[in-house]
Amino acid sequence: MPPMHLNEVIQGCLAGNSSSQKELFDRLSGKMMAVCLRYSRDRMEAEDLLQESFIKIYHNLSSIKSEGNLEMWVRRIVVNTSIKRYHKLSYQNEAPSSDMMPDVEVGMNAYDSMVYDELLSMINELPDGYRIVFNLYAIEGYSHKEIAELLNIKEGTSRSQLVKARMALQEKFKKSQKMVI
Amino acid sequence: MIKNSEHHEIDKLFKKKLENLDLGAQAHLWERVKTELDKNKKSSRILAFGWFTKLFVLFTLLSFSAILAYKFGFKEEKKSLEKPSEKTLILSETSIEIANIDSKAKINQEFNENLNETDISNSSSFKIRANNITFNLNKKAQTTDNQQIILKNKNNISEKSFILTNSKSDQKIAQFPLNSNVNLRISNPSEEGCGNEHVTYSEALNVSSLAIQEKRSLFNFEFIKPTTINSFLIQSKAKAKRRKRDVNDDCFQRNISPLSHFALDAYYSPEISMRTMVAKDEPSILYTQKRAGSESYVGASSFGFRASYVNKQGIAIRTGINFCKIKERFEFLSRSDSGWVFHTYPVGSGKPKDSTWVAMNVIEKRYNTYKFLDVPIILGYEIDLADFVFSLNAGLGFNISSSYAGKVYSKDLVTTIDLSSAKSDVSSENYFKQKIGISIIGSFGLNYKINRKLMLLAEPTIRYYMKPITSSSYPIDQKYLQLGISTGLRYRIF
Repeated sequence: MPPMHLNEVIQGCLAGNSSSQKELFDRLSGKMMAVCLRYSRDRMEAEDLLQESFIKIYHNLSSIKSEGNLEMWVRRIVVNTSIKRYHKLSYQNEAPSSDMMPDVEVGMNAYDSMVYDELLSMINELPDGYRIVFNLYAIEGYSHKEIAELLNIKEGTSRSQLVKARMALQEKFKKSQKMVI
Repeated sequence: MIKNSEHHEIDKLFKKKLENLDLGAQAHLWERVKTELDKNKKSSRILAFGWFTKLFVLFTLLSFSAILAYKFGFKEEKKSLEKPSEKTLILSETSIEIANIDSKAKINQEFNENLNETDISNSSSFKIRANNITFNLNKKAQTTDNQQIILKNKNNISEKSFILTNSKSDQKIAQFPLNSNVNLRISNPSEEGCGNEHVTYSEALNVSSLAIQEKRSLFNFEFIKPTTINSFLIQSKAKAKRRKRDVNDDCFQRNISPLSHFALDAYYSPEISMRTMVAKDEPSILYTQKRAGSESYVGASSFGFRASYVNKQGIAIRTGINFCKIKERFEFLSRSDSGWVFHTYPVGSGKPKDSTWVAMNVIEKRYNTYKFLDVPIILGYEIDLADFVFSLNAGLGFNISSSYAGKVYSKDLVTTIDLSSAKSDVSSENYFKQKIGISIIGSFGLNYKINRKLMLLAEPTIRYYMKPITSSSYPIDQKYLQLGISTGLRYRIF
């Protein structure tokens, strides 16, 4: 059976067609699961986040303007859902532990060979506030001002959370280097 | 301390590795998502049809509550009817003189007046006095049957009772409630047994001198024989719309109102249409899903005319003509197009305006209509209550014509076919039948009697077309079930 055109998939989803909904899920769940893992503490939380996001995607599919922007639009929904979850958890004020301050400078080039699950694992271990700011700034490309608006925090808080996130990740890199050695 | 240059390095590393990471389809999570979607779909479906379902249930509950209330209420009334009246009096022929009074005499002249007894010339009329107002009755000499005397009160009598007095002695004979039907039995005691002439008076409405009117009424059959009225038996009874033969007294017969009648109905029914589409074979499953996904219900209704015959036992047979229309919306991919999509970011974000060339598909929508003309043949049962008639009906509808307008997807899932003209390439048979056969019809209702002739209909109905509207050469079986509330009027002819 020939694969359905993306527009047909969207139309089928709009009509409530179950097989179209599954087709859309199969096409996008891989990438969106990766996004969810970045914003979550663990796999279980990521799966809940993915489920919640896709329900919103199906319900709001009629608002998409063009199929060309589908992935961007879906990603935005996943990120927004993550932010809403973050607000519910209210761990923004979580303080970093003192041992997160690195005392050795480590070149990042050495970590280019690290696989994605190691990096994901590092992100998962970050405090919620650091993790979400780091994701929004470093990977999604939001500015501190935009992050402050999204998370309802001060711009300065966003900046400091980012710095702390980087420090924490740096420390983890250092530890992983020591383990390798 | 992290160098500024490394800030970007950490960011770049994570961005490079994780931004477009694809972990593959999460098939194990689909069932969870589907369950949640199905839950939401069910609740939205209930919400969509919730008003109708609630109306249906409410109407059903109200109907049965009203039936129970009337049945129990009527039973009480029936009990009082069956009780022998305490006002029954049997008078000898000498106890009253019956006078003949000028039929043109106006009642106003008789206020507070006693008529001159010498005016009474023959035994053809008598007086009924309600407090200070006297009603006079004249009886014409006649030989025809089916005559009715109507007692009307033009003035609004506020007193609570009629008093029947002996016009000669002015002696009170009987007293009965104002709004009572009085059965007046006129008999000649010299005859053996009892005669069967009787007269019924309706509630007083207008004052006038009365003459016997020849009138055949659906419910009241009164007979007056040209005989000398020597005595009469008066019995008052409580107001009752339902009349039964009194089996206790051979001399006394209540009016027997035959319940059989003919009636004509005109009705309109807003409906909900439930469609099923079933693929006839496995290769057609995708086509079935495509069609089901692209066509959605908009609305349905039917209207019609019906003739009924109801016998004394309340069994009814009904037939007529019913016209049903179903409307659905069809959304389909009309054509592909392409154009520029412009991206804009918030002012001050530092991101420039961008644009991309994208392909876009144009979706169009059309409205499809399905029309059915049926002849229903229905058996029913009616229970005649005081102000309502409860009816239960079931039968078959015979489709005499079906027509369609609009388009649906064809089997190639891309082009469309016309509902009215699409045919099989092999057999040249129309995909959508011109006659779809038999439907099962059911309804029940609590219909309100506006007056003796007119009744307001309100009947929840169900109609199920047993065969699909699509022919054997078409790969999908498409069927309909209709739920509606028929509202209209019933006119009793005779």
